[in-house]
Amino acid sequence: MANRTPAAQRPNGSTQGKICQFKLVLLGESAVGKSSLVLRFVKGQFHEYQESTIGAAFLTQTVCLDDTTVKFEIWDTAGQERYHSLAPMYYRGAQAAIVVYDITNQDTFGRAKTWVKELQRQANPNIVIALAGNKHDLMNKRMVEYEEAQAYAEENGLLFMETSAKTAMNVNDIFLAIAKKLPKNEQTAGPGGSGQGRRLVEGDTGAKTAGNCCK
Amino acid sequence: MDSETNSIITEECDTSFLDFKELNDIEYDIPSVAAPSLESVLWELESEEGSDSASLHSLHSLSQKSRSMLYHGILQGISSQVASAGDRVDAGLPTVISNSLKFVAVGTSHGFILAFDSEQKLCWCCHDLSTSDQGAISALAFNLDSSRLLVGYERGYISMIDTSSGDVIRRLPDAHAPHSAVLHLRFTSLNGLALSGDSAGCVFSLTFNRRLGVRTWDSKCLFSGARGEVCVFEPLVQEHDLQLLGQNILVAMATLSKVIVISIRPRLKILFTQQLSRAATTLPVLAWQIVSVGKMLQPVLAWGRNTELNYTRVIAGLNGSKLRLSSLRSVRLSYVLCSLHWIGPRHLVTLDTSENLRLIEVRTQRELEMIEITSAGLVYSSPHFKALALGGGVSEAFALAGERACYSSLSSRGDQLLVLGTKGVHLIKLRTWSERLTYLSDQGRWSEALNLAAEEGLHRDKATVMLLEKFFVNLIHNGVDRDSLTAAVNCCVKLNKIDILCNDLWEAISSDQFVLEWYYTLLVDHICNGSLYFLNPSVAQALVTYLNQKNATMLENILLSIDLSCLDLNQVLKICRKNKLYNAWIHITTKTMGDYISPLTEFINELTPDNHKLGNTLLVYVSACLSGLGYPHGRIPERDIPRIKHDVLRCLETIHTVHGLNDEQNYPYLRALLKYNTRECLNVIEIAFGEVEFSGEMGLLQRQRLIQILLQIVTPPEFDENQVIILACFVSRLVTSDNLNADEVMLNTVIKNLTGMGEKQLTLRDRAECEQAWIDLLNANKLQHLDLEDLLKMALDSKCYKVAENIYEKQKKFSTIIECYLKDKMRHVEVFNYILQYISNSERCIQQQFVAHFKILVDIDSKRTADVVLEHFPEMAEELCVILENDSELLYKFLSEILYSDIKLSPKLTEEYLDLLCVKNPSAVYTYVKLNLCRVEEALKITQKYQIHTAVAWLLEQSGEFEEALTLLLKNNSIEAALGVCIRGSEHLDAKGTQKLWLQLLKCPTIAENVSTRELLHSAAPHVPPAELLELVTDANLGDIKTLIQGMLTDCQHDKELLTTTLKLLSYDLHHRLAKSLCYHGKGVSVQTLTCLLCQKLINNKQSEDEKVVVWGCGHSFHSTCIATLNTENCPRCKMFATRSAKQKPPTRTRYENKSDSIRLRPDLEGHF
Repeated sequence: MANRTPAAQRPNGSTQGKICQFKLVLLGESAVGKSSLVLRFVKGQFHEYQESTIGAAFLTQTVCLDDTTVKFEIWDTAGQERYHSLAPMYYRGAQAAIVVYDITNQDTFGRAKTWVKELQRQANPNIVIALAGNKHDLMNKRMVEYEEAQAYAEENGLLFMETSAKTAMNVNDIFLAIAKKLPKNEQTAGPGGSGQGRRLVEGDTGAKTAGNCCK
Repeated sequence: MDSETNSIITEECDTSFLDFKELNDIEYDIPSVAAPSLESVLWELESEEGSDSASLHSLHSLSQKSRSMLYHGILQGISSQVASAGDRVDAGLPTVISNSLKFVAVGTSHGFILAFDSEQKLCWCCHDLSTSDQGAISALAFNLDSSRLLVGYERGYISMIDTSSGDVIRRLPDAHAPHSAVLHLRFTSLNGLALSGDSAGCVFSLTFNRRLGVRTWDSKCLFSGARGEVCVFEPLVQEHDLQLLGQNILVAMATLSKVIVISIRPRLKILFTQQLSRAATTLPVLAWQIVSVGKMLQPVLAWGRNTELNYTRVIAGLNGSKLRLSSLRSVRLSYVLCSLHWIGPRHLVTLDTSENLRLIEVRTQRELEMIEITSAGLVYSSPHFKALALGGGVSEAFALAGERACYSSLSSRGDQLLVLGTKGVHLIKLRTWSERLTYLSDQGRWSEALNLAAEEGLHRDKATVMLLEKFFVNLIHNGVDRDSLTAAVNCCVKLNKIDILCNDLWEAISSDQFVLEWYYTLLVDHICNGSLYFLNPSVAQALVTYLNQKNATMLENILLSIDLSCLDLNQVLKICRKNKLYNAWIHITTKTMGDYISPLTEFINELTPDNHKLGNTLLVYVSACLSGLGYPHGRIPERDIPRIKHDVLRCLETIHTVHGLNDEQNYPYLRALLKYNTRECLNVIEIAFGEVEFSGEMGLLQRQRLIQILLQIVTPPEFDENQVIILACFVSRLVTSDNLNADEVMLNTVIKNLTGMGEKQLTLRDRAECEQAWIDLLNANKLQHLDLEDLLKMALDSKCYKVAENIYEKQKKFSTIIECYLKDKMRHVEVFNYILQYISNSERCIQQQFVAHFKILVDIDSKRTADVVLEHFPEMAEELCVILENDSELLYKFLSEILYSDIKLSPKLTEEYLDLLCVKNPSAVYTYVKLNLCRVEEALKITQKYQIHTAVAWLLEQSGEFEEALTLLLKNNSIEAALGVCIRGSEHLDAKGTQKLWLQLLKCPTIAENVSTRELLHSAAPHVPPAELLELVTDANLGDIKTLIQGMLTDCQHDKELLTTTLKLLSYDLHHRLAKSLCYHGKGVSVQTLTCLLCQKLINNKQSEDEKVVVWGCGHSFHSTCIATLNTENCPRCKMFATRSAKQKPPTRTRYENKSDSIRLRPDLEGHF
């Protein structure tokens, strides 16, 4: 522990600033690629046959944004209908949500819209909602037009990107966009203030998985 | 919580009462007066202590926990200036110290007074030349505003100094008793009123006035030392804004024997006195403090002497009216008190004779901390107490007690205490909570600091958080030990700092696997005991991963008691599924998703009859759901209960699973549960039938539907007979209790199932239940569609004899009921109950049946059969025995039960039994024979036949053939018995026969082997002449015959003694009689008349020389010839007056006369000797 020095471990040389911790929840119909999206973002991996999630999975990832370190606590909820009742437990108190749909399936887009509605009605009023049209790599089977989704997003004030967990397209970007949009001033900057040790450790985890977060 | 508010209040009151903070802060913050900062003071202190490291360590370990309450430091500024004053201006050694809100004053032995402000700067130094002959300063006192200082000298002078300039403004050369040293000076709350005490033990009140610009003073004796010397007094000083006691000014005084509290204003009045403990070498001590009692402030006086410490409080009415004092408590200390000071309103500091300062919490009387201050070189004012400068003149008691006087070398204000030592001034101070935290954390005593924070840190976030941050910094640099980590986790949990616990702390230790494991262990402990409910999801995730590898059971416990919203369900549910943590899985699924069906659907394929964990879990779960209870604990929200009950029931009644294959059997869930444990599953259903959902008309339909399903499922060959029967019993229970409307078809199925058991092996329980169910059905008249005869046949076929019995009862065919019992191997013992119950009921023909089945009954239980016979059919005993004639075994059993009762049996039977007994149990024959139940000759024959020698011998003996008996016994080597025969024989036979018997016994060669010779000889001795006996035992060793010979010798001796004694007695008697006789005969008899009363002639008429005279004791005399004619023994004269003479004369005399009559006056003694 003691041998770690800040300078040696911090490739970006920045992050003297504050640390923000955000709770982010992923919602969407089953099999639209929520878990794949998170897996790509957190671990940079992609599995062709991703097991279906039970209940909800929890992951964390830290991104560096200018002089702020943003730590995401990601709740990847299960899309199956039977787990629907769980969702409020996770989006309650979340600062951000990504609603995912499958661009090759019109139904999932419709489901995404209901999720957005539910969030707007029930979640924290300041919640940052992003809409992600996943499976961009399957362009040829596209059923949901980009423009349609774009228009819907604008109408509802959502961030919108088409992503592909398989090719990693826009995956980090959408998370970064959320991080940027999140208010950081009044945000409790990591409970307990900024201990020196705290920052060291955080810089460390950032560095380990830095490949995709610190572009 | 309570203590918290208390402390807040008292702190507030502190600041208003005594503004010590001013002194503190400045003292620590400004190092200008050559005084170092707190840090350096501490370092110096520690280095000083460190010189004696061994003792330091021992002290550390002694009171490690609490060694943070008291701050002990040296006031360097004051100390060095006092020392330099001594060096430079010859001020001498310090003698007195006093402090006020603004100043600290130190008096010296050469009459110098140095005053310092709160920054330890010297304000002024006063050396009054006019009092240079007054010697050392012996007392100092500030007034409440710190504007005046009273100074007392050891030669009795008192002066007053203006503290702003250091000028003397009043001189009081003769304010008190002459030739006495000033020992105490105290201002009261009023500036114009002070008190002084001197070495004569007197107390004076000093009043100061200023009239027309002239300062005057006056003194008045309050208490004369002649009536008891006052050692110490202390006025109750209260701030002007505190008007607890109105105008009253209280002073507590202590003499050598008493403590007295008086009020000196408005009127002099004694309020309280109490005796002090006697201890000649110690001084009494006193200290006032204003303490908050609840929301009230009350003055409390702490006082004591030697080892005794008391608290007394002042209770005042409004505006100080109705003052009274009441004792609070009394404590005995383990040390001798030397000084006593309040330090803050809740603590007391005591100094003992070994110079140990102790901190005592007043409320609990707990000793919190101890500091040794020997190093300070405390100043004692004993010279002043002895008034040495004035040449003594102090009472001896006073001087002796004053040996350890240190009243003026300790001075307390607020929560600090100044101790005047010869080498420096020490500061003892009570640390506040946050100061203690800082102190402990600076020392690296993290666990103590964190525990302290955890104890009292509620609502004091800032200091705690700062402490924790400091801890983390330290942790990163120096690592962490278990204790402090434990304390840190405890602190976070207790103060609900989950963020810190899960973010900062976790991250700080996450690199060290060992520490991390300890951290997890701590978390588990806290979760299990319920103090920790929520965790950060990251930590929860890591904890689950860790426990998954280590301890699955613990994991389940944790999952059952933690907040589910912080769990990664994807991870947890998979782990639960894999590790078969069914309880946790069910708990999570039902609580988070409200999904009460999936526990059934999820695990149905794993439910095999061997999987008891799952099977039992599911059964309990289903039962709980159907009863509307939470699983594994707690309860379901009221509004969900109907839905859940419905869901679970529907699920059980589901015909096929969602993804069921084609070959799936119907009702998979219910089937699986039934297969796992039919009985328990049906119990669950039975319990559920008690719920609201299954009552009423709809409920009845529900029940019927479920039963139909059950009957469909539980069919052979998939379910074995036991299970089928359990179900049948279940159904019939419902039917009989009218909880089910069964149609004929159903009933027939049930009956078929019940009766179908035939030859099959059933457990006892199943069988009993089955029969019971059948009987219940019969009794409830549910089987009316069936003919009783058919049922009877079925029952007999399936060997349900109990049922058959029941049917017989119904048909009133009592004659076969006993048979039912007898055929049923399980119940045949109960037949006796039946028999006894109905034995008097002639309708049931018990007697006939009894006789008919007698053989079997005996076989079942001969004892109870015999009891029945004895009680009810004693006259039939013979007859019954005839039945058993062919079966010797049964006969033997039966007879052995009845023979010993008082029933009369024919000798034939008794002899038959004897015969049997000889075969079955020869050892019991002897006792049996002794009962005399058989004819002797017959018995003899039988026993001789079987060669039961003891019995034969006894029988022989009975018929008087002792010798034969003895011979027989000796032949068979039963010496004991033989001995018995001999002994009994001796009672019946004549001496000769006895002797013969004994000789026969003694001559037996084997006898010595069995019976000890001694015993034998002892028994034989009375019957056999010793000579012969000795002859017989010539070969015996001395030991054996010793007693015999000894006995003989003793007898001989005894006889001899008896003889001599008898002779002695005899001669004694003879001698005695002789002596008596001599005595009588030696007495003279007076003759009344000299004439014979018969012949009236003179007695001595010398007619013939040989004439004899007879004289009686009565004095009458006669001629012997005359008297001979009368031929009487009595005096012929007195005879007439017999009564009179008898009265007048003792009978001995008469007897003597009788004797003497025969012949002469001298008796003939020759015959006797």
